[in-house]
This record gives sequence, structure tokens and C-alpha cells, in this order.
Amino acid sequence: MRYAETIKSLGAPVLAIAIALAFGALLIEVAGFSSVEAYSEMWTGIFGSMRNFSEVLLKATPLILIGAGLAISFRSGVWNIGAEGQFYAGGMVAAVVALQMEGVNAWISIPVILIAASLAGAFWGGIAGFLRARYGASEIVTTIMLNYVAIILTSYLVTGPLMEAQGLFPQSDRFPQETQLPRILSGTRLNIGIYIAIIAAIVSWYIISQSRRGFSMRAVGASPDAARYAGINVNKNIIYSISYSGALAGLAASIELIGVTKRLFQTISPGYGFEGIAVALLANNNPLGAIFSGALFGALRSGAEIMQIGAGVPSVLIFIIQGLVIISVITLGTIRAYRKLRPED
Amino acid sequence: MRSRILQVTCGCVLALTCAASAFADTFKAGLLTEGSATESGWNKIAYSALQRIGEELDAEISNVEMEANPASFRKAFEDYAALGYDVVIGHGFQFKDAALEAAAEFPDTVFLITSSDVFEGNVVGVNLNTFQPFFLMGVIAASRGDKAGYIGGVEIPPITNALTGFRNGTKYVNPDFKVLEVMTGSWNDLAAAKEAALSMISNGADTIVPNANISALGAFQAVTEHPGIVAFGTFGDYTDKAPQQILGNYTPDLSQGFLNIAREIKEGRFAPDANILFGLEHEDVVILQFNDGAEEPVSEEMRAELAKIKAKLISGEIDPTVP
Repeated sequence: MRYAETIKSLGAPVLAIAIALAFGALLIEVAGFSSVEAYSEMWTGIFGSMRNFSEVLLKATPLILIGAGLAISFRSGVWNIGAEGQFYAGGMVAAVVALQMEGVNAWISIPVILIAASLAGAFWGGIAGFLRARYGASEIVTTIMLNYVAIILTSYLVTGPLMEAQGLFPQSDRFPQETQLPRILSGTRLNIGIYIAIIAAIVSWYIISQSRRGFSMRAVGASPDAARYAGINVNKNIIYSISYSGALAGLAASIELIGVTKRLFQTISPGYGFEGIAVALLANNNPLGAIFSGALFGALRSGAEIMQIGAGVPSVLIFIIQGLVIISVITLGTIRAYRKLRPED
Repeated sequence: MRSRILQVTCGCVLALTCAASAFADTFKAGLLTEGSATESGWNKIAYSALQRIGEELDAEISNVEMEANPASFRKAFEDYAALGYDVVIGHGFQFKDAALEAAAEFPDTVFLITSSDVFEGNVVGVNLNTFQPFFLMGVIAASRGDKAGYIGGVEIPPITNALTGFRNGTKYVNPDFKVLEVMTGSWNDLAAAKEAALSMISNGADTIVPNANISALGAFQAVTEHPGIVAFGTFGDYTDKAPQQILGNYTPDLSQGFLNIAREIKEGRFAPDANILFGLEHEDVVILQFNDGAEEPVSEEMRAELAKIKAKLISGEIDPTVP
């Protein structure tokens, strides 16, 4: 019975992906390219080599973390659109801390960086949570605004106080070697970040669906008034949930920085925070599902380059496919809800 | 252990999907840009270079429009190198780190990084020497009066280097020459550039040198309102904006530079000993052309003098970076 439910819940996302890929193929053909060639090149880009596959997991890491965090936030009825800003907040703090870690043992420096960045992300999310809880300010608006603040602050840092010693380009100095996140596959840059992401997703799933705290969060998400009537502290849960998702976004940023870029740039995120929303949606706000939807979106991103090199299809096409996935998910969800309301049809 | 399983699974898939990656002998060139490659401006320079490499060197070309995210650059470099590309251009300083990381594994591919001070094995920076052409403009300005105005866009090395070159050029002729300078902080604020030019002219500047992308048009407007004032166009031919008053244009052709490098790579002659700096000695890349239709074009004697100074700049006898 339970398995049947699980399979049923998987059906919608799989169908959505299939629809999106089919429409994507149509678009490619209309644009004058070969969809078969494009998709087979993309397949090569994803599974064609050890290195390619490791890049998929590398790209999936921040998406899984952000998606799992947002899933919790959304389940609690908190519309955190600010994962992008929380990612930048985490990135800034990770960079500031990492630059101080010259000569510090990696066993100390790396956990310190990861924790500091998580706290920064939690704080950034917490601001919006506090404003919502205390003053009823819409977190949709405040988180979007805070995105800009964090991104512009990052620009300021890399053109000002944290600008490289050479003083030429808007980027920080390279982080000391001690902060390099351990690699797990020789010859690739896949690092332990993917393990951290998967563990975080499992922990998130446990929190939201198995723990007492998660129960109150879900109660708040389902109906704040009912939750309040039942004696649940609604405000506290709002702040907890958005801070939690902020913490995972900040953690994602620190992994990206000390694992991959090793510098702070103006553009440390190509929109992971927004893509994370899609990851959570496709996973039906289930943190475990975010592992798979994150991997899928990571694969699309990662395969896109080879698709452009091999088949000449502009890599931006994958964003259209991603958009189509989301539209399909939402449409299928609406159809399902409609059927539930009118079972006799 | 887990990585072992990963390796095995991946190995199988690899064998299935990647059986046919035969290496042909065609010369292959790839390009990475941040954002659209075909939009005019910065990326267009590299894209037209790539197209010329394709046409004139009979090369197989390909480009990828990257998102503004340095984390994704390395894989793109590696993808190209693994596919046997002979040269990959990373168009911008932000590609440097990623190229250095990718290059270690792929010694047979040359990675060219635009506007980057790098020379490590097969990763080579490609730059324009902006000091030199502006030095020559300074010489011309100083031969006409005792004040000139330089209008820069955003304060970045290429723009400030040009100013230094210009100022040193004027001082070479007249140590007391004064260069008025304004950095508008924008590439497209025409009004700010015009205001700057007007105030320079009212302060006695005879020559105006805008180096601020499209906003230079504002400066040329100010110049046309004041007959007798002369100007130079930079990074483009602006002659028609003030046909009587523009003395010349600095029209560097970086795509020609890339083409030259690619040709050397193709013919196996590419052996740089430092990062590449296109200066006046590369006459097809760094071009300072004169406008013969101007009211008072640069005189023949002056041109002869400039040719001598140019030779000294090329030989290193004159250093445009110091006064």
C-alpha cells in the first residue's frame, strides 16, 4: 500500500519531465537543429565519462542543499524566495573566514567555514522570518529585496575590502590550500560536498516528517490559525523554518566556494537560489525527493555545454526545458487537485 | 569504495556512449564567453575572431555561451580539450583560474585568456597594449596646445593605462602640458560624457579624448558644438560623429590578433615567452588611423615624427608607462 503510494507520487514528476523533454525536442526541431543529436550529445555530457558524471554531482550539490531547505520552508507555509541572497550571505562569510585560515589545520578550518556560512545564511533568512513573525511583512517581498542586498554587498566586497592583492580584477584572493574541501574521486573535482548534501537532505526529511518540530511546522504550513489554536507557537516555527532553509543555502555557498571556485566572485551563483525553488517544487516539497530533482537539474546544466559544442544547440535551451518541467509539474498538480474535488468525473 | 562503484558504473556507460570519438586531423577552435556571444561589444570581438578562424584557417569551430558563474568554466575547458580542440579562448579575466586548473591535464590544447596577465605552460593571456596608441595621441595633442581632456568610462586598468599613456605622450613633447581627466563611471551615460567634455573645453582643453564606449558620443556632441576643438575616437571609428574635428581613431582589431595566434598554433609556430601583448609592432591589430577629411588633419611632418616615435616605442627606447 505504502509502495503504491510512493510509486504514485513519483508518477507526476516523471511524467512532467517526459512532457518537458518532448516539448524541448519540438523546440529544438523548430529552431532547425536535430533533437536526437542534441539529446544524445547531452547524454554524453552527463554520462559520457567519469569526469562528466562527477560534474553532474558537483552541480547537483548546491541544488540539493537549497532544494531540501526550501522544501522545509515551503511545507511550513513560508515562501522563501531568498535562497539566492542567503547563498550569497553564506558565500561572503565563507570567503572572509576562509581567507583567515592560512596555516590552520583543515580539520578545524573546514568545519569552521561551513558552520560560519550556515549561520550567515540562517541569519539572512532569519531577518525575513523575523519581519514576517513580528510585523506580518510578506516574506516573499522581503526575501526578494534581501537578495539584492546580499548580491550588491558581494560586489562591494570583491571590488573593495576583499579585492585581490594584485588589485586588478573584481575577485578575492585565492583561499589558502588548507581550506580545500577533500576530493572524493581522483582526477575530478568532485568533493565531499555531495555527501554533505545527501546527508542534509536525509536530516531535513527526518526533521519535517518524523520529528515533533516538523509536525508543528507542517501544522503551521497547513493552517496557521488551526496551529495557533492547538497551542503551537506559529511565529517561532516561521523563523525556524526560514532560518533552516537559509542555513542550507549558506552551507551550499561555502561548499561551492571552498570546493570549487576557491575565490569570492561577483557571480558565485548562476541562480542556484531560484533553481532551488524549482528543485523543491519538482520534489513535491519532499527533502528526499530534492536529491533526485537536484541531480536532474544538475545533469541538465552539466550536459548543456556538450550539447552546444556537439550539436550547436544554444545551451540556454536547458533553461527552457527546466521551465517546462516546472510548468508541467504545476499543471499536473492542479489537474490532480481538481480530480480530487470532483471524484465523480 | 563508493567511488569505486561509481567508477565502474560510469565506465560501462562511457563504453556505450563514447565509442565513436575518433580524432580527425582538422584544426579545432573553441570559445567560451560569459553571456551571449553575438551581442555587440566585448563578446562580439571574440565571436568574430572565432568565425574568422573558422573561415580563414579552415577550422572546425564551436562556442559555448556560459552563465556568469566561474564554477562552471573549468568543465567547459575540459570538455573542449577532451574533444581534441587545439585552442580554446576564454574571453575575460574570469576564465583564468579555470583554464589553469584544466590545462594541467591537457597539455596539447592552448588556452587563450583575454585581458589576463598569465603565462603558465599552455595558458596564455592575450592583451592589448593600450599605453602605446594613447601615447601617440598625446604627442599629437601636445603639438597643438597646452591642455587636453581625457574622459574615461569605468576606472579599470585598460582605461587608466590608456590615460597614463596619453599623459606621458603629452609630457614627451611638452613637460608642462596639462591633461584634464574625468572618469564618468559609466559606459553609456552620454550626458555625463558631454558635460565632462564641455567643462574641459571651457577650461581650455583643445583636444578631447573620450575612452568610454558608447558614451563617447556625448563627448563628440560637445566637440561639434565648439569648432576648432579636435578629438580622437577610441575603440571604434567615430569619424562621422564629427567629420571636421576628429583627427584619428584608435581601432584595435583583437579578432585579427586571435586569428594570428590561431594561425601560429595551427602551423606549429606558436611559442610565446610571455603573455601576449599586442602593441604597435602588430600593425594589423593595433591601429591608429588618421582622418584626412578633418579641417586640419595631422600634418605630413607630424606623421613622419609619429613614425619615428612609434619605432622608438616598439624598440622599447621610449617607455610609455613612465613620464
